[in-house]
Amino acid sequence: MNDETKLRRSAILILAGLGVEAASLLKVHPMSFLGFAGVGGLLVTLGILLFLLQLLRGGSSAA
Amino acid sequence: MLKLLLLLLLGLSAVLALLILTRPSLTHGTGGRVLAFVSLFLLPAVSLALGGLVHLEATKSTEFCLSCHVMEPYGASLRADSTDMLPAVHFQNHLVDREHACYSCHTDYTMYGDVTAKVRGVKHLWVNYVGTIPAKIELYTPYRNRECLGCHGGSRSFETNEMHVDVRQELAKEETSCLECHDQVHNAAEVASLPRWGEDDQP
Repeated sequence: MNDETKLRRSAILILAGLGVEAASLLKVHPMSFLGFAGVGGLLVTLGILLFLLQLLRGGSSAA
Repeated sequence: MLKLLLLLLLGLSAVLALLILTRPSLTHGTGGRVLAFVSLFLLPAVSLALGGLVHLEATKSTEFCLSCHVMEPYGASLRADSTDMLPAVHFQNHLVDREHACYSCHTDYTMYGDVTAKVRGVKHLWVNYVGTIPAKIELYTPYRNRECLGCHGGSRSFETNEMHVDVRQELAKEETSCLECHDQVHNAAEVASLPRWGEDDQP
């Protein structure tokens, strides 16, 4: 998997997470909170971690 | 205000992440690397933190507490046409902020309590959607006077009330409960039969 594909993978995860985060703001409800923390938060965190991992491994295009 | 800021941040983060997704070659130069760092780390991380803050703040709202069906009678007790019921008196006379009515008197519940309280909060969700809701809902521990004294303690009407003078120390030490005398609280079982006050402006 090349660096650009890895970047795309991170971007997709982060975009999906941001979408869930935005959707969770539509309604004040315990399930919104769970959706934000459990789904949106997880996706964004995974995306960030994958990106940081790529930086640590010295991905040429990102780092 | 915080929510608006978060929405703007989410939008900006999404646009930049979309840019990286569609044109990853942009990240080849130094400026591109900075763009990638901002788009895939900085802004999403700040959005996540700010989102947590917004959601945490929302859990204090009356709307949040009453969003579960099981809480309806407790919400109704805020609107009960009664001059004796504590929630109704406090809510209808603006003695508590209406937007945060539940949290004003239950400050150590679920999200804002200790770890045990947080676990109980998750358990409430589980029971609400998957388990069986008990016929009668009760507090886990006796209601603490500190919730009342946080506002009433030191106030002239409280301190000079003849009924309070003899028990002031006991109340402060939680040896006597405020609810021993002020025992008209939510009365969830009977509240449905009571007339409502201000129906047009439901919480």
